Amino acid sequence: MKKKLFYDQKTAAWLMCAPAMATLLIFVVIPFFMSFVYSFTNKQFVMGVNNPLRFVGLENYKRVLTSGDMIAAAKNTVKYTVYVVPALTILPLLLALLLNNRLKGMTIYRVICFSPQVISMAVVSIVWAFILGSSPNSMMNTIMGLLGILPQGWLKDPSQSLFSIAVMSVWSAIGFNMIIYLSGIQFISQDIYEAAQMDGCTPVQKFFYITFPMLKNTVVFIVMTNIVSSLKLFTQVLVLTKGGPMKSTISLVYLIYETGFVKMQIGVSAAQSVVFFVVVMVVSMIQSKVLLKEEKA
Amino acid sequence: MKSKKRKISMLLYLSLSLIAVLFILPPICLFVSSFKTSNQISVDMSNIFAFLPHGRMSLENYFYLFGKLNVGRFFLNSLVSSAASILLAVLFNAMMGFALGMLKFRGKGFLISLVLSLLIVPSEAVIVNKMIVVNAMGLIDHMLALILPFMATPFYIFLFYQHFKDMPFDLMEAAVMDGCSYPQIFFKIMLPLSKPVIATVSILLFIKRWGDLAWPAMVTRSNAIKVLPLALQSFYGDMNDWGPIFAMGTVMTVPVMIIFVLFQKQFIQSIAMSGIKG
Repeated sequence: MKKKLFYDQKTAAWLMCAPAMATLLIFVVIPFFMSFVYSFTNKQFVMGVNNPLRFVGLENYKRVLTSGDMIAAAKNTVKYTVYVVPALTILPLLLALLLNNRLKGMTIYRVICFSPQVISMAVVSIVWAFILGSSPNSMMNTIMGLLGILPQGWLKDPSQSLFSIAVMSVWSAIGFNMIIYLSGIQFISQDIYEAAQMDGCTPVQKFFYITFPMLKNTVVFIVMTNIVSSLKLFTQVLVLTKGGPMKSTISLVYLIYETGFVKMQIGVSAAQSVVFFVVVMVVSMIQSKVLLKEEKA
Repeated sequence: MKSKKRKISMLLYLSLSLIAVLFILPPICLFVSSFKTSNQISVDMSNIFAFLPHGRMSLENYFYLFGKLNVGRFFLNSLVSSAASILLAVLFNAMMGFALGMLKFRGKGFLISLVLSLLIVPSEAVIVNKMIVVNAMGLIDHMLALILPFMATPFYIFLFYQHFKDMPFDLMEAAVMDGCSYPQIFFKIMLPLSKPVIATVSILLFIKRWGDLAWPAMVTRSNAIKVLPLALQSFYGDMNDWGPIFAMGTVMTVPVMIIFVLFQKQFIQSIAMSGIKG
């Protein structure tokens, strides 16, 4: 009897989808809807005896959208995105152009530039915390001293902490973006370059008239994925600064984590999660719109 | 003409080497410092010796980690939870990808669009309520909490689905004629033909699970099931004893680096397929 089930295409298909579907249902779909429902309630992780679960309407949203923490987190996240995205769009492209030639040994350079990507973010964070130490003889302050710049506080200074985290994130992600650019560049037909060579184009002209226009889709993809991943800034903050000093590095995802897990205010964190989800969704929608348009054009 | 070309390539090598140094020095500092005493590290910090073996080099930090702090246990926890997640995830995601890509059944269109729409839900937006669910299941501080939620991921289902969709259909029809059941077809014919996708999913998930900090921080409490990133974080927060901290970072990095060096090509290909890391 059991055997027969597996010979029927329909039954077999459903049975084979079942484990994955159950996992997604329990750990993605249900928590997702819980976020919506709880965002309208006073849910706490441990409910007080004289404070039963009740519907509070839009109170959480009002609180979230006007709270100082949320405004700080939104500002910081946008700032971080502005620091990181242009750097991760331009630097990896330059690197990919340097690496895109037929000289010997290029694979080794590629592997080296890519290698930070496989180091866990927590480890990257502590190594950079060491480099960016605030003491006057820390590694970065020594280098700055050689350039005649006074010792800085880096992660300990509210005006530099977010930028320090951005530098570290750029260092870790350049390799990944470079690989994407390289695969984009290698898609461009060599014939075009040869024709340009015949017509006497300089390398700079080749870049602006051939490489860059042909890479438009790749650039859009890189910009959009980097925006989304910048919005998700979290691990670096948790390891290095816990949002400080003076809330200068608190990010949206860190705020969700802090409200929901540290302060255990599930209702409020659910409202924050919904806001965060809407922001990410809008960016993703713009991305697919732009990419589709590019494809048609 | 030839000498000009040579000059250009010399210049290229020079600038690439300078860039490569920027990428390679921080990991070298991590690795070298893990053999130094904390004192030596702060002495070497402001000169070139930070990247060189200098002073008394010893395994002291490692003895401290594995002897006193039980890091061997944390390492094992990381390894077991990552390996179990990968094994189950490859199986379940591939099974669903196969069903969606190759079998005909009612409701398939709905399931495909469900998976596609779940693709845009960022895991960060559901993480707190995922913890509530795990808590309701009684799995807080249980190894299963580090495994079960990762058994299926919309993106990996999508990768398998795309792979199976392009498989020759005749292959399956022939197997059906020969009296194979659908699970048999999946395990004996289709899975062995899916090695590249299996490798991609395994590599991506390994990097993610091995380095994940947020989720273990939320669902584990005791030392018995602590994983490495969490141990590193609490350790870094507790004290500024750089020797053991760097040794710990090295313990976390070496396994991934070894796998990276061995499967370098596959690695770069896999990671180019998706934007990992938060």
